[in-house]
Amino acid sequence: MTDQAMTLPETSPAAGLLPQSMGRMTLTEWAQMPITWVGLLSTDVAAASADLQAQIGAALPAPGQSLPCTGGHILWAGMGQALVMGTALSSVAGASVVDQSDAWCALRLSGPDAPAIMARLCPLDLGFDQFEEGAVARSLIGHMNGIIWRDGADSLTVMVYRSFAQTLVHELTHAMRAYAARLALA
Amino acid sequence: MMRIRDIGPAVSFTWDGKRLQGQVGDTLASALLANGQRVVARSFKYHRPRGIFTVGSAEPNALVTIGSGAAQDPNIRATVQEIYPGLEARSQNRWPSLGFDILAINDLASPFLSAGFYYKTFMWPRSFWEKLYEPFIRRAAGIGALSGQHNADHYEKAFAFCDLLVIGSGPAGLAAALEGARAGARVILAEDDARMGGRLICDNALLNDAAAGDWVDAALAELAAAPNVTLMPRTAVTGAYDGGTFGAIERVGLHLPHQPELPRETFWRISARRAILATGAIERPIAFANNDRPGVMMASALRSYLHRYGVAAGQQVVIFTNNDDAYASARDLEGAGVQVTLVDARADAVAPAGFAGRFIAGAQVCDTRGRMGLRAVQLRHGDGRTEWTRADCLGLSGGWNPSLHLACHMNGKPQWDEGLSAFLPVPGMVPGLDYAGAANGQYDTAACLAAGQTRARAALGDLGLSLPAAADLPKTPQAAARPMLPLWQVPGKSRAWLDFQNDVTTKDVALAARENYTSVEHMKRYTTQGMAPDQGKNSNVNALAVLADVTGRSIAQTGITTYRPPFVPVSLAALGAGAQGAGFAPQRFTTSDAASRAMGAPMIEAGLWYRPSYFPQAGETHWRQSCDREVGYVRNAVGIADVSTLGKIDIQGPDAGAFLDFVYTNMFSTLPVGRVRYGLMLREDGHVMDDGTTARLGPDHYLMTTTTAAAAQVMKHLDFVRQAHCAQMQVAFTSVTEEWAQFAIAGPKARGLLQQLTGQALDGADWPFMACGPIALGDVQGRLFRISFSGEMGFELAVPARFGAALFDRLCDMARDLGGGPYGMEALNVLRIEKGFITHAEIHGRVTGFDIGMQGMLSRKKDFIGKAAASRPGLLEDGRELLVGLRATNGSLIAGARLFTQGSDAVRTADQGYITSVAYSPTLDASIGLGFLRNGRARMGEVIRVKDHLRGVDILAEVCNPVFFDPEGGRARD
Repeated sequence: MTDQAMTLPETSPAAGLLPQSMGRMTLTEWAQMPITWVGLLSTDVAAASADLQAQIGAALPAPGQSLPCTGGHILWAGMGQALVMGTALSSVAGASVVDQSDAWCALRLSGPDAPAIMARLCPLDLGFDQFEEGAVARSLIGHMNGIIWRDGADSLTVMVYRSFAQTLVHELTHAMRAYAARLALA
Repeated sequence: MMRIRDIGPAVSFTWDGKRLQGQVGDTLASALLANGQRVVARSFKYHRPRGIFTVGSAEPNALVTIGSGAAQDPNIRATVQEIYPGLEARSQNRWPSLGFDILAINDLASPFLSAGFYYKTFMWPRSFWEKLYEPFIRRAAGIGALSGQHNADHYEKAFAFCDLLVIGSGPAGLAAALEGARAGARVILAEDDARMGGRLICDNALLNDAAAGDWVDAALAELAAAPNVTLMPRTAVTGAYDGGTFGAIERVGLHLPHQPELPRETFWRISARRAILATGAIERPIAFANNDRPGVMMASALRSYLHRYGVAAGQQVVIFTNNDDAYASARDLEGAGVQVTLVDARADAVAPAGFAGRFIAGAQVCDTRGRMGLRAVQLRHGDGRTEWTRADCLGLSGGWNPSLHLACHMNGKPQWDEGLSAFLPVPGMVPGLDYAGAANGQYDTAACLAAGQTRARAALGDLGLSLPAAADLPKTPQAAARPMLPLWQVPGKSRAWLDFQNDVTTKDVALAARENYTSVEHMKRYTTQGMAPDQGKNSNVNALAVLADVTGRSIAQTGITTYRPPFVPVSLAALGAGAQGAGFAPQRFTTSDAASRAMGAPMIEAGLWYRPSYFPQAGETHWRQSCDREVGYVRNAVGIADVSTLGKIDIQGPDAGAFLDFVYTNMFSTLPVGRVRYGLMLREDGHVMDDGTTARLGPDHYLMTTTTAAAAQVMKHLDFVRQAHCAQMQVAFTSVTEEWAQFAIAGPKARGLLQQLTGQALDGADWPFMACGPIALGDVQGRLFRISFSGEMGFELAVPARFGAALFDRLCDMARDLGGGPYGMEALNVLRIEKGFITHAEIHGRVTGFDIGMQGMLSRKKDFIGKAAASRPGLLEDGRELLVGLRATNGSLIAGARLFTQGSDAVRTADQGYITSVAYSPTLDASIGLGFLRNGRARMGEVIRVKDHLRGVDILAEVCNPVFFDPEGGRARD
C-alpha cells in the first residue's frame, strides 16, 4: 500500500543560485549540516555547559563568541541561546534542544573584501581587525535579521532564515558586483 | 576667458548639444570657462542670465542637468561635476534656449515678484491654487527636472567606522590626518573635492620654500600608504548625528562614463569616535546693484581657476575687496598676463608689493553693465565721484565665513566674532567634534597646519592612544594681514543680489523686515533666502547682516538661521539605495514557491511571504472559476495547500505547560500528549492578539502555531512575558517556522491519500480529530496533525524544509489522482468563511474574546495575560459589535461595508457595524460574509441594510450564525 518510491529529494535553501564569484570574492552555500539550537531553560549556565563540554568538547560560548567543538562549532546565538553547527544533539542538561538544520540559509562570503561587502548591508563594524576570528553577531543584513560569524581568516558566514535565501543571495551578489566594479577603478 | 596652461589630455563633452573640448582634471565649470561660455544658467525667479560664480561646492548659479533619459540628473553644480568623455550637460530653467529665454519677461515684472508675492497674490479663489497658480508658478520659476521615469542606475548605502574622522583635506585636515595616521588610529579623511589639498592646490602658495602641492603630494602618499587610513575623495560629509554618526555622500561613478555595475553614489553612515571639522571657509560676496551678471565671480575662485585649471576667467578683471586675501588673486592674475584693477573698500589700503595694475583705495563697485556677460563696472570713489570702467570679469571678496554648518547640526548656535566679522563654532556643539583651521576662523596657512596638528593630538589623546612626538610642520611664508572692513552692501537704487540661487535681493530682506518678519528664521522663509541646493552658503551671513542693518540690531542680536543636514544636496536615489522596487522589502518564499509559479499561480503577499492565490487551469477565464473548483476539491475530494508560513514556536521545559496557561486564555497544561488544542491569546489590554493551535509533542514539549501575520508579534510577546513575568519558569522556546515545510491535506479523501503516502491506516481510533504525532515518510521523519481550517477531514503534514519542494509535488500528484489538487489562498479563505473561522480580518486588534463569541474560552480557573482587562464591564456589554454571519438576500456583500438597521438612514450616527470578510460560497451558492453587528447574537434572522458609501453598494443581508456550513462539525470528525 505504501507508495513505491518513497524517497524525497532534498533541496538546499539557495539551490541553483550559488556559487558565484566576483572580483576577489566568492559566495558559496554551506552544505546542509546539522544545526542544533540549544536554549537554556533558566539562567543556570553551568549544567548545560558541563554537559556540552562532555558531549561535544566545548561549553556555551560567551556572548558574541563561538568555539570549535567536535564535528564543528558552537555559536552564541542570543541571550541563553547557542547554535551547534555540524553536530547533532538529542538533549542537553538544563536546556531545550531543537533541530534547526533546515531553518537556516548559511552562506559563506570568502575573500579579502568580505568586510567591505558586508558594510553595504550590515550596520556593525565587521572589519577583519575588529570582528576577530570566531566572533559572532546577531544583526541586520539589509532588512533581514541574521547571524554573522567570522568563520575563517578571510571569510564571513552569513545566516538568515531559509525563506530569505533568494533575497540574501541577491543582496550579497549585488554588493559584490558593485564592489568589484569599484575595485576595478583603482 | 581662456585656457592659459594645459592641465591634461583633451576630453570631449557636450553642452546644450554642442560638442566642446575640455581637459582631464577639469570640472564642467572650468571647461565651460575655458570655452568662453559666459552664460550657463537662468536664475530661479527672474530668469536672469547667470555665469559661474564659485569654484567649489557652494556654487549658487551654475546648476545644470547631466545625462538624459531615465537617469537624467538635474541641479548638478557645474563646479563639482568633473568632465569625462561623452559627458552630456544641459542648461536648465530656460525656454526655448539659454540665450533667449521667454520667461526673462519675469525680470521686467520684478516689482511684483518680490518676497511674499505668492502669499499675497494667490489667496483667492482657493481652488485656483492647485489647478492654476501652482502649475504655472512651477513652470515659470524653477530649476531642473527629473525624467519622471524609473531610474535603473545603481546607488548604494554603506557603513564605515573610525577613531578619527577628518572632514576636509586642506592644510588643517591633512595635518590632523597625519597625526592620526602616525598614532595608529583608524582614520577616515573625507574630502568633497575630487582632489585632496583644499586651498593648498588652488593657491600659488609655498610650503618649505617649494610649491605647496609638493607637500600635499607627500602627505597624501604617506596617508595612502598607511593601512589604518582611508582616503575618501569626492565625499562630502552631509550631517552630524547622535552617537558620533556622520552622514556622507560619495560620488563613485558620477565623474565617469556610465558603468552599469558601478554605483553612481554611495551614502555613508560613518561612526567616528572623534571628528575634526577642517572644512575651511567660504568667501562671501558683496551686494550692490546688478552684482549677478555673468562674469561676476568670487575673487578666490579666480585664482583657483588660474592655478588648478589653467583658466583665466577674464582678460580685463576688476577685483573688489574689503580684505587682503583678494590681493593674491590680483597679483596672480596679473602675473598670468591679465589686466587687473584692484578696488579696495578700505580707505587706508596700500597697493600690494609688486602689483603693477591700477589700485584704488577707499572705493566701491556700485553697478555693472552687460546682460549676457559683464562689460563694465561702475566705481564710486571715496569722494563720491563715479566712473565706468571696462571689465569682462569682476572678482568679489567680502571676507570669509567659516564653513561650520556641520557643527550646528545638533542645534548648537555659533557665536559672532566681531574682530573677524564671522560666526565661529563654540566648543561642544557636537559631542566629539573639534574644529581646526579656517572652519574655526584661523585663516593663515601656518595657523591651519598648527591647529590641525594640535586638535588631532588632543582628540587622539582623549581616545587613550599613545602619540609619537609631534613632527615639524612645513615652513610657511610670513604673512601679516591687515584687518578687514565689514562691508555687506553698497547703497544703490537697483536690485542688489544676496541669494543668487533664489533671486533674493537686499530689497526683499528690507521688505520682509518692513512687514515684521524681523526674526532671521521668518525672514528666511518669507524671502526664501538660503533655501534650495546651496542652502545659502554664499548668502546667509550677508542676508542677516542686511536684516540687522534695517532692523537696527547688531548681527549678534539678529542671530543666525539653523543649519540642518544635509550640507550638500544628497540624491534621493542614494538615500533610498537598494530599496527600489522589489528591494523595498525582503521576500520570503516557501519551499513550494517554484512549483506554484510553474503552475501559473498568481502570488499574493502575506507579510513578507508570497503565497499562491489560486492555480488556474486551461479554460478558466476568471479567478472565481479556479477558486470555486479548488473549494470543490476540498469539499468533495482532497486539496493540498502550503501552510508553512504560519508561525511555529517550539516550547520546551518543565514549566512549558504553565507558561502556555499564562499566555493563552485556556488551559494547555492539561492537554494530553499527542493532542492539539485551539488557543486564544490576549494582549495585556484584554483584546485578542492571536489565535492558533498548539500541539503537545511530549510531556515537556509543545508546538505552538500562530497566524502568518502575527508570527513575529507573538514571538516577541512570548519573549517579553518570559522575561518580565515568568523569569522563574524553566522554559525555553524558539521559532521553528522555517525548519518545517507544512502542507494541509484536506477533504473527504485526505485520509486515503495519506494512507497511500505513509502506508499507515490513520484510522479514527489512533488518529482522531485533533491528534498529532510523529510520522515516517520513508527515511524522513515528519509530523502529522489532524486539524482542519476547512471543516473537512483534514491533516497537516510537516517535514524538514529540505524535503518540502519534493513533498509538495508528490502530494499534488496524488491529490490529482483522487480528483483533487492544490488550492490557493482564495479557496482557503472561502472554506474558512463557510465555517466561520476567524483570521486577522476579524481579530484586527479592536475585538475581545466576548466579541467573537469565545468568552467561554477565558478560563476562570487560572490567571492569564489580559484576564483582568478583559473583565471590564464595558468589554462585556451586549450592545457591543459582535461577530455574526451575513448572507446577502440580493447582490453581493463587500468587505468594509457598514451595517444599518433596515429602513434607517445610512449615516454615521445610525451605524450598526461592519463587514470584515466576504466570499461567494460555491458550496451554498450564496454571497456570505462575516462581520460585527451591535448586539449581533440577539439579532439572528434579522434582515439588515449593507451599505458601502465609497463603492456604491446598498443591499440587504440576513444576520445568521457565522458557521454557515456543517455547524455540528461532523465532517472534520470520524
